[in-house]
Amino acid sequence: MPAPRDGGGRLTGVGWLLLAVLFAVPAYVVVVTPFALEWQALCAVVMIGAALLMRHAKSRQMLIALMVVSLLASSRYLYWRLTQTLPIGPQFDGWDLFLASGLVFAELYAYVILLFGFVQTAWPLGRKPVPLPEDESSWPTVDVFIPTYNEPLKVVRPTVLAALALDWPRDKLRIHVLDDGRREEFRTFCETVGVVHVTRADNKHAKAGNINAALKKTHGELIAIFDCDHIPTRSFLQFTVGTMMADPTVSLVQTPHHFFSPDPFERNLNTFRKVPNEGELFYGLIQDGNDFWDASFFCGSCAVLRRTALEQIGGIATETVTEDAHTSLRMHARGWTSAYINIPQAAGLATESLSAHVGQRIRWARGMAQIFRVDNPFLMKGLKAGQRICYANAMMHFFYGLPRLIFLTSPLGYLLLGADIIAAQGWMVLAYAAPHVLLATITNSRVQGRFRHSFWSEAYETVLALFILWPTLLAFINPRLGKFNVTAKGGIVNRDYFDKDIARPYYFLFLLNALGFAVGLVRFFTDAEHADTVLLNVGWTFYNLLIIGCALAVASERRQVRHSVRVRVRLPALLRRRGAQQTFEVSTLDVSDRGIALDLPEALNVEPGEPVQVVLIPQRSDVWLDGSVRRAGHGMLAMEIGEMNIEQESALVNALYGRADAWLQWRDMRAVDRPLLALREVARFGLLGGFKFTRWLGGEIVRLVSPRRQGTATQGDG
Amino acid sequence: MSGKQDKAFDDVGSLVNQLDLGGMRYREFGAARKPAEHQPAEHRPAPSAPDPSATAARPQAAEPQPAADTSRLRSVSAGSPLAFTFERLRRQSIASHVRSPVLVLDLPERHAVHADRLPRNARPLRELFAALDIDPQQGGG
Repeated sequence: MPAPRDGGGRLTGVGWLLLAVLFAVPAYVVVVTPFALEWQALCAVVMIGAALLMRHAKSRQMLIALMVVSLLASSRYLYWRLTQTLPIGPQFDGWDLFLASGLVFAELYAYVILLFGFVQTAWPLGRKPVPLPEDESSWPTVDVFIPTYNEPLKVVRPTVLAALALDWPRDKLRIHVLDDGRREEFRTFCETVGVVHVTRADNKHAKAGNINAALKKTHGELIAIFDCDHIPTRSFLQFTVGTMMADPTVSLVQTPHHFFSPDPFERNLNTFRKVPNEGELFYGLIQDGNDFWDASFFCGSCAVLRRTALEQIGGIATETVTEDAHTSLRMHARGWTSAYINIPQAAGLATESLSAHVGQRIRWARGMAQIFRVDNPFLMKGLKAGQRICYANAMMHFFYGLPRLIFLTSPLGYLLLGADIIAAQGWMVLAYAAPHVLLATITNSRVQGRFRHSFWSEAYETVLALFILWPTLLAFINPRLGKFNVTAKGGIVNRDYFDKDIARPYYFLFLLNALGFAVGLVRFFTDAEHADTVLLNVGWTFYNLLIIGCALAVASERRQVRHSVRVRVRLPALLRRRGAQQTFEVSTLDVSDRGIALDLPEALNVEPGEPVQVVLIPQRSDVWLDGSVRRAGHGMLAMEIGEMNIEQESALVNALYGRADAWLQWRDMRAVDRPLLALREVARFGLLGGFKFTRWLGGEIVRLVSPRRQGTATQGDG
Repeated sequence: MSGKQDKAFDDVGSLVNQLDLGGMRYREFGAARKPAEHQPAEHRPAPSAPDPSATAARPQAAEPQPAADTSRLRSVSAGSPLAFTFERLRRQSIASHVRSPVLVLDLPERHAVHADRLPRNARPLRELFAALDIDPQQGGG
């Protein structure tokens, strides 16, 4: 492993080479030595026991040792699979070999992703911000770009107002709204608040083209880019730019994308702020791990880029729909470095519905597959080995569609079609596979536990697998196929409903697995000779049913009527009746852009509808927000905010979203992963999803077979 | 209980402490700034080559806003010509007609002057512009 960039290395290149050779010989023996069943079972127990002990060690070195043991177990399993379990011979047919090859392909893919993932996350850099020079006149000029296309103004306003409050010398900061929608109301708003409204004649190359067009019209030394719904904290620039000033080779500083509203998984499964969401693994750990290898990459928003680096590569890359990663790949190939500061310094809205979420992920998957073809990190000149691995893993990760589908259907090949997908006895498969699967789970839990709970990857991937399968395949075949789609934000879900369109592929998978499970149970009691193999496949199918059930549970959209997101936050505030002299020191309980919940002072008697005024963070603001009481009692006053002028809106935005520490503690509030508890949780959601699906399916069947009721319902609806 | 809270509120300090960033020295710039106050003159497109698609902030009518806080106008150094002009604006109740903070002058004390819907022939205002060497047609300084 190369030395970390920040100077922690002790071994020279020769030292590492010697160590690798010393390790390679015993590792080879461990991987290739065949064992009989009982010895392999003993080997499995020893490996799993060692991993369970090692996982409690705190040191980074022990974690790497755990990764090595896990990789040895997985390598041993795969070696055994490739050399002893392929259905080749007269007793097998082509169908057996076809299905078995598919499974081996999926396992090899998972192995490579596991290996690359360990490399990526072995040593998260945990970089700290670099202080800026004392002399403010040496600070660089910054252009803030806020690209937008079709998002409503209400989504963009807070971002612009928060950008106006960025703590940076006023003569060195300029804010630009890059409006590809060329909307009059945006122009008026920009003029009102005093930012630059930038448009262009066409929408060529979507967001990348929009930014490139703005680059030609601006001159700031640095470019800070925020998606139009990513609201920066006031400290964003002072916590990021120092890194670029200290090291002139740094082309970009990326910070996490933080979301203060629940994504569809969190909302539909009610796991918001309890279970880490899908993005937290990437922004909490992987980007930090990439940073060790100088491979943290641009994510399209919440980042600062150096203009000279951008200009050197011809601006933002336009050949793919994930222009951000592609751009940083090219900068890295030109010798520029990058940095990741793992402090949330901006926050935004997560996708509202599962269909929007799926649409966004399809774009990411398609874009990464395009980059893999256009500028393959293994072949591209100028990259370091670590960068090749990190970029390759980021791209190859999105090829999980086909392997995931194979894992979800493989046992059915045996249970329903009678195919020998693994030419080995059930107990032997278990003895080899158990250490592989369990050690990978234990190690990943130890590495990722704060950012991704065990078994949730399967749930996240299963939901998206079938949707990204075709786009990635298509992009891999021809990178020109596919267009940029804009992710919808800020919407509402009017009612509870089962999104049958999104869930459709999973009906079939669920029903197929349910059928396989039933057939397997029958075979278990009737086919004593193969009981172990049948049991293994039944267990695997049951697990698949739970995971698919999870996907179905996510497709059960829960009602979301609130137009604005409440953020639970304790802020000091002053409260008074409108126009009254007497004020009360209070604290907020939660705040949104439409309402505030506050502690109700005992001495204040107010009635619903009564006009009141509030100053948020009076230590820093004297702007009174007007509103009226919605509810008062039980120590809590709920206030509905009235119409606001720009100054009031700005005060609210800065108090709610613009505080330097606004999002710091959100990650710390979640429980660290405990694999068995996580399995129980995923199983619970799987059963819930299965139940919801079955109930929905029952209703559909009743409706189909009962035309009279359907006709009545239609009349009633009309 | 009334009056302002005297408990310190320090979001930056909280961040610095929690992340153990002892070496960070934070500078405040934006907290006291109002929207429309930030555009640096030297950071604009050159006047000789205007970009038709990029429109910088200009004085312009906007949605109705509450009256400006005229108490700010009085806190300019007493006795200065500027203070005198401000005071005349205040006495003539011109400030009470103010609706939108679309023109903001870059004064040391960061006082806002609201120019929208101000009578264009307001003599004190013209004097103010002249004193600060600002062309009102070109937007805020």
